[in-house]
Amino acid sequence: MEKMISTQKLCKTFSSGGVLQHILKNLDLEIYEGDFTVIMGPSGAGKSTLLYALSGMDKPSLGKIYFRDEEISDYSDDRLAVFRRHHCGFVFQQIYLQDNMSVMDNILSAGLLVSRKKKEVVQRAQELLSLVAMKEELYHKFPAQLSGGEAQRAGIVRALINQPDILFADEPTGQLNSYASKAVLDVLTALNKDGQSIVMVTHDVLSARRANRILYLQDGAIYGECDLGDYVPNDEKRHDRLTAFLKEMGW
Amino acid sequence: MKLKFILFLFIGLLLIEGIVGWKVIEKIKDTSLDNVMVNDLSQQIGQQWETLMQTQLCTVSSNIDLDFTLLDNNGKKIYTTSPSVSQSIEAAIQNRDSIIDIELNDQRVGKILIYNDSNSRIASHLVFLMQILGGTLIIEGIILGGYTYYLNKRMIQPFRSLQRFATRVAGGDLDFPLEMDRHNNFGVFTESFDLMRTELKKARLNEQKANQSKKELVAKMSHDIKTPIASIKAILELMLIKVKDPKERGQLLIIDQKANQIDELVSDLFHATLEELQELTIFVKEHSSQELATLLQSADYQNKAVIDPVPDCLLLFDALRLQQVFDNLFGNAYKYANTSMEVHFEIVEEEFLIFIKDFGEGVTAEEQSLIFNKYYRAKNAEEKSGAGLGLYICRYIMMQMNGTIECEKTEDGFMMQLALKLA
Repeated sequence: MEKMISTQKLCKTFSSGGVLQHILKNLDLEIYEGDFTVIMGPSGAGKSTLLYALSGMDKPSLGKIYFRDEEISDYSDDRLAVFRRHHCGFVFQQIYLQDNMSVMDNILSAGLLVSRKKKEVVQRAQELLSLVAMKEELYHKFPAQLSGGEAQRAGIVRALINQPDILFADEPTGQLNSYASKAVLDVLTALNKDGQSIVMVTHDVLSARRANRILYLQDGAIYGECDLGDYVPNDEKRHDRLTAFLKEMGW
Repeated sequence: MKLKFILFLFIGLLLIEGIVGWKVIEKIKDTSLDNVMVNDLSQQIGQQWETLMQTQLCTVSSNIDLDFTLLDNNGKKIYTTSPSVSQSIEAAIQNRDSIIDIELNDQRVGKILIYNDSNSRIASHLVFLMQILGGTLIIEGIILGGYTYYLNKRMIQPFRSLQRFATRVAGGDLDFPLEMDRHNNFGVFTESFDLMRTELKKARLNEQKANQSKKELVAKMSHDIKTPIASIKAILELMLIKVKDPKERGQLLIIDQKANQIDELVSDLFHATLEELQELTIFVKEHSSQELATLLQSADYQNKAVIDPVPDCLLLFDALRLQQVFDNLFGNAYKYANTSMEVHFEIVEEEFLIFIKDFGEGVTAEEQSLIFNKYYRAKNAEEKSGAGLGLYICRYIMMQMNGTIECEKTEDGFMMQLALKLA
């Protein structure tokens, strides 16, 4: 499998009131193409910080980050924004759809930032919307009229409209009920099956089950790693392995 | 008192045993028959013989208290006093009875078998002896057992505890007193041992205090020496501005150099003493590796080193102390090698390595392990000033930061290798 993102001694330090807080410490890791990688760990371990550093939303304090063979850690802010637009898709816990725009407009506005061919963008949006099982009557509704699950699926479509190399998800099911969570996770699983690389931060074991590789973060360093293999629904053995791994990590 | 009584009782019992034994043996030995009684008996029987033979009456009147059997010449039993005594010559011989002929008118007419009762007498004496001996032996056993218990409790146990005490004291444990029982002589004896322990403890504490105050004095003095030196240096600086004569300037510069030297030596002394006082505190914290560049540049005040870019990572060290280590290493390089220098970095697994290299002579391989020892000075350092403390302190600081310091002679120079831990 080919390396997509790798880091060398990645460190992130925040200063609060003159006290330095080292959130990430000398992190060496690799994310591979086509993987559904999940980052787990206790609260405050630095999961989200790591995700933002990997995706170029935030710059590391020390260390290097490579996307494919390009070092992105020393990019300027502008260059990073362009990089993100072309290579990364983001799904957040608080979805962040524009309230005054319909679902379709939300998606198209993201797509048209990159491509000028409106017809193509619209067509891709429709394909993706049907892929995430979004009913057509919802296309022109406003975010406030959607359920949590529907909004998050719209968020996923927006993240994918520019055909990103990698999709970053930060607790995408954190605000959803179990039924909506399952629907969103099913979408992510299906996307990954079609070759979409995904990195997801979660502290929900049900979400973590979908991954084929789990990185366990503790005190700002990779504490353990587990290779689960491809997701198979209702696979007891796979689930036991995951549980054993998390137990070993002190979850 | 009690002991004496018990001893007398014991001896008394032994005497009783001896006397009883002797008496019994005397009695057993006395198995001979009373000759007079036997003669009387044979005479009486001789006198009665005729009547006996004629009447065939089986009675013999006799006033003599002996058991006997009367036989005629043919060995036929005529009379017996008791059926349990020997009834024939053969039985009499077996029982070692006395056999006496009865003579009447110079003719032998029969025999008297006088029963020998010594066997039963011995047996009854023996039973008596056994009873006495058994009784006294039991009492003696009780006395002996009690005395052994007493000895164990009063002598052997205290000796054992004294032995344990001595072992503890020898091992340096002076805090536990010796348990003792002052009610006996031995307790008083052990008390003097415990006195020895307390005195020893006092002496040891005094020694520690003396040592401590000596070190504190050195630390304080070395600090005090620095103040006048600072004044000397300040005045020198002023004079160097004013004085223009090159010769005088040269002399002033020498004074400055020597003042610096004293300053360095005093610093080393100060730190070595502090370390002994365990007051050279080191606070290890997470630092960015980029801080190393600043530390190294500040140490390299003569700008002789080419310092590689520092690889990014988070390290564990105490910046103040690490600066001290770098100052020392660069100071050594200036003093002994005085060549250009190179600084390289490398990350190997969990360690961050710093290589500080010069192109001087270095020290020989045999000395490489020794130069970190206290007061050790390499052979090539003889004509240079120094106390042999610098690298010793460096190693102490590095070890406190969980790091290491090593040296190595390379083809073209000498290299110090420092290792720090990644955060």
